[in-house]
Amino acid sequence: MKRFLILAISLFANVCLLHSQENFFPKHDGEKKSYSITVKYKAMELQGILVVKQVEQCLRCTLVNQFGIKAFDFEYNIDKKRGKVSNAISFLDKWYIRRTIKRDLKKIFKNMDSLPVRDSAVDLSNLRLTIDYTIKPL
Amino acid sequence: MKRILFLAISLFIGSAVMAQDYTALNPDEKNRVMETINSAAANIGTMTCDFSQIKELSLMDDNITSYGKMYFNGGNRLRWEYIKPYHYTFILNGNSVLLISDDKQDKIDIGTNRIFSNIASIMMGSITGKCVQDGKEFRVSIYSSDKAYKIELTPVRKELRQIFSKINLFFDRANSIVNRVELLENTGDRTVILLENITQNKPIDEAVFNTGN
Repeated sequence: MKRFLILAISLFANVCLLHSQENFFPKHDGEKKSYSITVKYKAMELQGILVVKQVEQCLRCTLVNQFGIKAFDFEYNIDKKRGKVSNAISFLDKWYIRRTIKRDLKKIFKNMDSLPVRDSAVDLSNLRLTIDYTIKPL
Repeated sequence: MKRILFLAISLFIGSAVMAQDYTALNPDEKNRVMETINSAAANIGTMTCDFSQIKELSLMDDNITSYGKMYFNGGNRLRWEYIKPYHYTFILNGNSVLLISDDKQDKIDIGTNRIFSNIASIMMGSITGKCVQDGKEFRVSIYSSDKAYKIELTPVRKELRQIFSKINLFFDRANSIVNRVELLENTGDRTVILLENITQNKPIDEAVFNTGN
């Protein structure tokens, strides 16, 4: 009985912690939200600010570091489920990096209504390349 | 007709505002301004100020603004602290950099990290005006208006050229202190940093620059 109670309590706690949040990203034309983003790859960790704005049926994103220097722009077309990386800073402007960013961000926005939110942050792991993303509203 | 007149007047007013532009200085004037700025920079022992950083995002035709505080203590000690809308602190002390965010601290040796050594030298060189003396790093053009000098720095080194197309420093003519920095990126974005409530040569607690060494 005691074991059952512990299981029930931990399940309840998990449900409270882990839930999808429909309004995590902008939902309306003109709406803009800012997030802190952490990207971990092997021993490297990058932190920055991700700004997302909905313009008609498109989510426009810019990732900058805290000093304001842009890493790249990303556009996601909600209807067509297509993404495009542009204006990448020179050291990120390699086809394989652009492709990885595009694939991973597309995955996030494609599932934006059902992404699990834990401690008010969204986590995504690219298991093949071992890249971890954490996005948290500012 | 009324509409055309209105448009013409608006265009005239617009160009009149733009006409408060900067004019290029001749070599003699340029040398004189350089001397003034260099001597003002040499007299900066300590400096503190508030700053607002306006990042213009070309893709979304929008801005993000952050606010913070800056402390500088001669040579190579700098604390650049964002307070709103996020907490992030960059402390440079000699060759070591400490980055403090909400949940963690990272220590970096700038001797081994070129990006941070570039950021550190641009930030310190810009706020103190020492960038202007650096002929190896930048090609310098100087412009003047009634109230300010505009120093246009074009990066020479490839590493900087890959990020910035230009860095503009605006010096108040009254005291030769930088009060506005513009960072123009190759990607078409611009970051404007406005320095306010500037105080110079007042003692600063050394703990502000502690990187844990």
